[in-house]
Amino acid sequence: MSWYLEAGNDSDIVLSSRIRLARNLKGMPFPNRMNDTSRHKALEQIAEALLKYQGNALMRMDIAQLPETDRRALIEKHLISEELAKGLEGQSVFISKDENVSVMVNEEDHIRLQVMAPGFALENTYKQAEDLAIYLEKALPVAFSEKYGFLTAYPSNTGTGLRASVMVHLPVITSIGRMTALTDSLSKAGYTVRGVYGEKSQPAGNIYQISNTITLGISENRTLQNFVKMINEVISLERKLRKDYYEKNKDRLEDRTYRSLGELTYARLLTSGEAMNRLSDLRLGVACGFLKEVDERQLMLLLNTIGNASVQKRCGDVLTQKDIDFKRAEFVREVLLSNQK
Amino acid sequence: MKCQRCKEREANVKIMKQTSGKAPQMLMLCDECARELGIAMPGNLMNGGIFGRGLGAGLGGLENITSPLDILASAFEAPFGLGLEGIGETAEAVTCPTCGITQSQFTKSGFLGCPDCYKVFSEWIDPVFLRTQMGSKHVGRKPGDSGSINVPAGQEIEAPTFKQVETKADSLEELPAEEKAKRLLIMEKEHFLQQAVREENYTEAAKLRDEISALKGEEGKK
Repeated sequence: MSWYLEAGNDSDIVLSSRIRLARNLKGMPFPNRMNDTSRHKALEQIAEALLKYQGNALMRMDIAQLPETDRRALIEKHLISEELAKGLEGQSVFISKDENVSVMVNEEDHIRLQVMAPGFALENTYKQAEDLAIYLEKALPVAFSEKYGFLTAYPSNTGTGLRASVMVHLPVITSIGRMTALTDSLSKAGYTVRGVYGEKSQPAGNIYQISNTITLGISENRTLQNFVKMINEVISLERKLRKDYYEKNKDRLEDRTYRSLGELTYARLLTSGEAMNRLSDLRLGVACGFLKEVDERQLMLLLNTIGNASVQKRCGDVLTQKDIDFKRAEFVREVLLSNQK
Repeated sequence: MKCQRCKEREANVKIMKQTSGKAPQMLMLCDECARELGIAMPGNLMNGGIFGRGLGAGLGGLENITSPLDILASAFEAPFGLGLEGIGETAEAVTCPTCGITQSQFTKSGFLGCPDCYKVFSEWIDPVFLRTQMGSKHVGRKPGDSGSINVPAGQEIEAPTFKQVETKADSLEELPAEEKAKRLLIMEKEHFLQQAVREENYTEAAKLRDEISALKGEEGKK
């Protein structure tokens, strides 16, 4: 089963948690200064260690061998980055069976390992990532300096090399126009916020990724403690606003939610942005407790499977954008109607 | 006037540095040299370059700077700038002997070429870390260390959390966004001032103190 279909803590707001750790090999240039041969050499060294790891069975995928659609689908599932999708010689990803663990090799750094979990679960997720990091640090010569910590190609990741992030659904903070202020506040406290879906200028689905930016001069423990504390603040702010909002605008909110349900169950062409925005309404309806026709699990499934590449991959054929929108609408309908008899 | 760096092209970028109690310093550059040094081009500062992404993100980075004047002023604090002395003569001189990356390649892309670059370019990296990270010294795990790490008391500085930022400002919620942003900016600078003092980085501390009083002065006038 895919990791995201399991129930998580605080899932009314936090969709998922992710820990990413960056590591590099000693005695080798960073990937931005490597050629095909040296990347290949680094990959084989890292692959040998990774495939012996007892914690998770990891499957190796060499990006260059993957068709474009598969690469896009991996990006949509947050398993690889755009940078790795270039598919240069020696760029690979190692993925666990339920896709919660992935290790990118020769992305910006030699090793970028990540662990994802449903809901708000940073500590456990970190523990799992750290176990893998400890294993790799013992199996491989890792670039480390007493002063700067774990060395990374981009200096802003050096130190712990730890990037903790959560994906949060903040429909009310967004709708009352406070997202910019929140982003600003968070950025002053050392965190970044970005929209996960849609265009940069027009994020869709009210889903944001919040991550720490400070990696030097702070320990892993403290990074996580501060981050958890801060995310709890965001959670209670959104919850409070939801309550206020729902109490004051019950009819309006229910009307919008059921209209969205109608649209999603009857539409024949759905763009990705449209689908994400309507699904956001449903998610809010479920969280507020009045929408019983849909559950969180269906919403998580859709969120992770209706991107352009995921739809294309499921269908096999090469589709036009209109065909994709059609297939997406079909799939959304199928999933939403699956528990209505 | 000719550019003070290449001494060939006509200079049309003027940079002034004003430090209280000191005579103002001035630097004249041509567009090209300014661009190479990452100075006069807001786009470059925002999107690429050493400040581009993480380094500028969040605390005290250039992302918050909007006016061209601020960008010019901040060029002095940029790792490339390092004041007036040395510009031109040293820009290409420092090269990492291990991977061959030059200082200007590094400052342009923000990427280091290999682990040894950290030592070679520490002069440029450390000041940026002091502004954007919590100092320039690692306090986390070492390779192979397991689980919880004991950090000696007093070595870590508490990072402000969202709540602290909000409550410290005491009903900041009610303020217009602009005012709020400014209050936060002051708080942030105060935080860095404390940090600079603790690290005995008095040049940075003096600069922050001036910035804070300038921000507060603006407030008083209203």
